[in-house]
Amino acid sequence: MGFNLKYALRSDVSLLRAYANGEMAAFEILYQRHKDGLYNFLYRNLARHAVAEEIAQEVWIAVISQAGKFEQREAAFRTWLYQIGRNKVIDYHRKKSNQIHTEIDEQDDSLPANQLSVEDNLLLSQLMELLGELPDEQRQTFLLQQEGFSTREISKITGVGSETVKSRLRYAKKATRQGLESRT
Amino acid sequence: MSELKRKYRVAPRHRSPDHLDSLILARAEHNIPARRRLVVSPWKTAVVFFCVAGFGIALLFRFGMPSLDSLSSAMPDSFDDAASVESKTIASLQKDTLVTQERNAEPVVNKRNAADIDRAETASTQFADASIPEVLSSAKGQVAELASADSLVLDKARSTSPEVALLSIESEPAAQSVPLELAQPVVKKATSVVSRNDTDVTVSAANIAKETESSSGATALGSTAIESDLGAPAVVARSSVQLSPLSGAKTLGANEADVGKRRMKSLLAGGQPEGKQVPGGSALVASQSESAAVDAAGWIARQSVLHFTLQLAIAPDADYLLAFGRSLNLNQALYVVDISDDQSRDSFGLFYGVFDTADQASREVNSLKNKVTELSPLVRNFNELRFGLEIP
Repeated sequence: MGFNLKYALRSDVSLLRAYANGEMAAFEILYQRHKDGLYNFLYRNLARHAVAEEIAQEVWIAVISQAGKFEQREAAFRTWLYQIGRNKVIDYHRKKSNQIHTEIDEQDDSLPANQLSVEDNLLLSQLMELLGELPDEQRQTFLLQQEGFSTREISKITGVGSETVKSRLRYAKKATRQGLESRT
Repeated sequence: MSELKRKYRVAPRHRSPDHLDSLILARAEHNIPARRRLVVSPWKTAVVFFCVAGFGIALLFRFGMPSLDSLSSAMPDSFDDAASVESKTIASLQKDTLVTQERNAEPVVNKRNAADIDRAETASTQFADASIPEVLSSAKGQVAELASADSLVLDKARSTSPEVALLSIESEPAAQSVPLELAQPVVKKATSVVSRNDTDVTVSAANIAKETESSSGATALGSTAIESDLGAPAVVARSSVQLSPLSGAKTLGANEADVGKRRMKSLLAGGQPEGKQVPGGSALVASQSESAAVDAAGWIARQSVLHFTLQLAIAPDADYLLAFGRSLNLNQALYVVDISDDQSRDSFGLFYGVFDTADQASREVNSLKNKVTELSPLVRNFNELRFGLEIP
């Protein structure tokens, strides 16, 4: 997949419309921009690579099928993308009855553990455990904020008000911080 | 930045696996053809069709049709005066005819036609606003001038204004049932006649007189031979309903009473047209030939109903017919018969010879056509003429 300067400087919405008009290169650029962030968000929510890949595939298929129907007035593409991902995660959780929280990949090959210090690895594992213990709404809100979304964007993705988002973030951070302090 | 956030940021980010990328991109590639399918909307097709059709029509009008300016220039300003329109047409055709002659004629002839063109342009201006009778009346004097010359050159006469009237005499409408009028189609036909004949035909006045003198018709009808201005014997035969005291004239008067409004006059070719048309009437007043009147109606009445004659031409003026008939240099007698009535303009027919059978008349027609290509004679039966002219 080569770098195409013609599409690299265009916005997400422009690329999506170009793809809707039949330009495959536009979708490749769009996918390259957001594939890792979405996958990371899904994995942090699902804690299993297999499930994250499955959900990621479903999310991108939904983007492909609805590319011609996307309206910029409703939301930015990135917000729309993560909104789809969040909905897929919720659907998955409903089907699996929250089993994901207790089933974390025992051998996570994708973690570059050798690049982190022993202390950081310990903190990370503790953080992941604490995130798994958070309610879904608080965990998703927290993860979306870590992906760079603003409160307003998170509000659009999750479908709740800004104050609710702030409240969820406050509870999530408080619970996580307290959990880390108690474990240390 | 809070400690929690810092710890999260330093945590490794999980990358999308390559096999997932290939799968998603393949799916996206698969969905493209459905989106790129060309959708031909009906209204776009209609717009393209009308654009192409309009362009084609524009080309047709641009290169295949006369321009609007040329059409408008050919149209009269008004239709109030039909005669004025006809006179304009005659003048225009006359000018065109001379231009055509100039292109086709021999170099020697061109010198003569160059002067004729100037005269024609002058005549065109002169007749532009004149009615048909005025044009013919003006041309009448020029015909008389030509007839009095030692020889007549047809193409020279054709280049003058009276020749327009003469050519109209030679036209196809002569084949129609009498009475006929000089109309615009007649003039158009005359143009085509001119364009296909550029030969000079010289007619000797002496020959005309000689042949006319020998014609049986003149003798039988009691015409009087007189000396013409040219010194050659010529037979002048004029009839007048009001003035002729001869038995023939009486018979003519009786015939006129029989036919009601129809008037009959005859002119025997070979004479010199000197008569003047009486305003408001159709009779010709011939000062030199009152005593030599010939009864054309009687001539037709005396012929056998089984015999035939040739109708050479029809014209609105007898003098023109007379001059034209003389210029043909024919062997047998010519008769100019008034075939007009009160319902139409003056109209005269030029008849030639008496033939026992239709075959003889047809052979004479072929002979005449070879001799004078402008002619298109019609074989007429005397019984038919009597019926058409209402002669008992």
